[in-house]
Amino acid sequence: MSTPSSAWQRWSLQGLDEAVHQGFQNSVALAPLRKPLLFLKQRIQPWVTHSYTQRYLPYLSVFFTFLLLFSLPFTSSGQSALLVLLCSAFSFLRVLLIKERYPLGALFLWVLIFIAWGLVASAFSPFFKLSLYGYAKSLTYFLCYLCFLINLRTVRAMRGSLWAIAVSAVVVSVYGLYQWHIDVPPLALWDDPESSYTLTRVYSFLGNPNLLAGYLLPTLSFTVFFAFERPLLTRLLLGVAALLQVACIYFTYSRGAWIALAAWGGAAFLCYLMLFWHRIGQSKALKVLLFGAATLSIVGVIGFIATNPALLERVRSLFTTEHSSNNFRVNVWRSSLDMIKIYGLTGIGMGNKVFVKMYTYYMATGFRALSTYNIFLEVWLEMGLIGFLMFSGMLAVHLLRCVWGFFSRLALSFRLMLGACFCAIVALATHGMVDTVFFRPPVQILFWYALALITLCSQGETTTVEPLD
Amino acid sequence: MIDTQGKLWGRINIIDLSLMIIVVAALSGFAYIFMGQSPLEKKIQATGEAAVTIAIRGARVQDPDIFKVNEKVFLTIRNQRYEPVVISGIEMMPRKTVFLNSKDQPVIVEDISSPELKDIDVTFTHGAEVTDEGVIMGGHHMKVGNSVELDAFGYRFNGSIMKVDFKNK
Repeated sequence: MSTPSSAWQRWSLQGLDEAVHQGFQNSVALAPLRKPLLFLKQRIQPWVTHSYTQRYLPYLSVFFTFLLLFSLPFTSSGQSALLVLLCSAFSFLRVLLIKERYPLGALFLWVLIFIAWGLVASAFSPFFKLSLYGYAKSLTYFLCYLCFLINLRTVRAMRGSLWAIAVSAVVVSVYGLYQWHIDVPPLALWDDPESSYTLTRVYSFLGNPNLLAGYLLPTLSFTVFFAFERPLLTRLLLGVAALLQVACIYFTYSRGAWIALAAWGGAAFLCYLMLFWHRIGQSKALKVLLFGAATLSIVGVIGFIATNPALLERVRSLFTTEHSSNNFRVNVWRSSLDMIKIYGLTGIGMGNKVFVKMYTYYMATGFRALSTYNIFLEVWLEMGLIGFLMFSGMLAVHLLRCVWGFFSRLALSFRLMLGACFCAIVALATHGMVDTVFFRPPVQILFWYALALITLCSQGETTTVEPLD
Repeated sequence: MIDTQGKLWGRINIIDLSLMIIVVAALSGFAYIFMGQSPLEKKIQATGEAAVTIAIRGARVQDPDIFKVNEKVFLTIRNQRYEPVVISGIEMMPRKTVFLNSKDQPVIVEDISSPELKDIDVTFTHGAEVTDEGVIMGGHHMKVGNSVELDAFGYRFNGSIMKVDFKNK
């Protein structure tokens, strides 16, 4: 290991993975959970050795994971939850019947503590029952995360899941573009009433342009990075899929998502440099070409905005407080900050039901809202200062783990997937600064998917290592 | 700091320590709330029940039976159903207009040109709280002049609040 790599290793807690794994094995507190499981495993496993069950169960379990990922934009929250439970049931059977090693490293521990802290936040909540309801939701997401950890442990399974996401995103985008083509009327008040241009904001199967954009940001990331190191034809297909998604994000006219898309572009460029610097760095022509292309694309985007008056107005509206939706958000943020001043240490409890209940006591009359419109404020408000620090730390550690991966000797497929996760998280966090779609199931599950993939990839097999140069 | 066995300073398992901290924190949370230390207790000045009367004006209703007393309807926020409240009173009046009679005195007559046009006063009752901001019920500030949306089995109307009657419990 070279020196920069070991620094990343320290900051991304990679060095602790093995120790934490041992910790899980030796933990006294988990013994009441682990021992019955082990007992059952030892009893049942001999019965199923060499059976069809043992051979085909993993396929079934993986299949439901794919189905869950594919169906995200098409199902309601309840249906998603049902799929998650189904998937968890099969995954549990898989754990019970098949002997496998699980990636219980430092990242997993961090996620586990973060999730467990929700219980503390609920205990401190003045609305304990409502908070438990919200906590059940975050437990469902945690189950999802566990399913991903259990089922996507091979490169083949990971690729399958990426296909599931890409295909689903293409279907969603094509329908979105069709909506743009037929000038679909809005389902609710999304248009800026003072704008001099009427825009068609597409919403596809998700019913809300901002949610659609929030969903497409991570899928775009997974599609683009998946396209590298694929055969030419597949690469072309995925390239078209990515273009469709970018076009669809554009036609949502979701300004938060545009900012996130810009941040995503920056992050993707950075990842590309980190991943391939050993190749780019050697050729001066390539360097010039790359930075030239980057500059050109920035100039191109600015030129495109400047020559399109409707778009220019939309972009300009970002910087005024007169725009109704900006004004609304500022008001909600202000009330949320007021609440954080009072409840900042312990939080108000989990879920938006608690938020709405509590917000009533602190809102400015007339600015009713269902959430804070900023994921960091939201987590802080829900889970208190410690929850907020753990959430930010969780994001940071996972991002650092990606960077560690870029410079490590992991197989290129794993490093590319880490890149995808890195950019997806950056885009989601950026969009989350101004919107709240992050907490909706399609987006949230993709977020947990990214976290799970980071854990899996960073513990991936290094045996298939290819030389760095 | 953490050894190969996952122990912190060679003494305590890191997972055990984390879980211990979480259990202790959660217990202290319960105690904190049980002792009434939540800042919310200071914010709420009174708890009780409020009867709120809203005015729905010029509603076009052909079948007045859709308005039912004791029906549970939902207060909605940003197009999402939020909290069910109980309808405690309905007064439905046909639309009326004012004319001058032959002695130049104003008389009120029913507007027979559009019999479906109704003015409705709906009263709903639900638990409410009082803070320094006003009376609060189901995620809404109940202030005269504010409008609330009622979502029932047979109708969904926006009405302007005319009267808020808060009773201490």
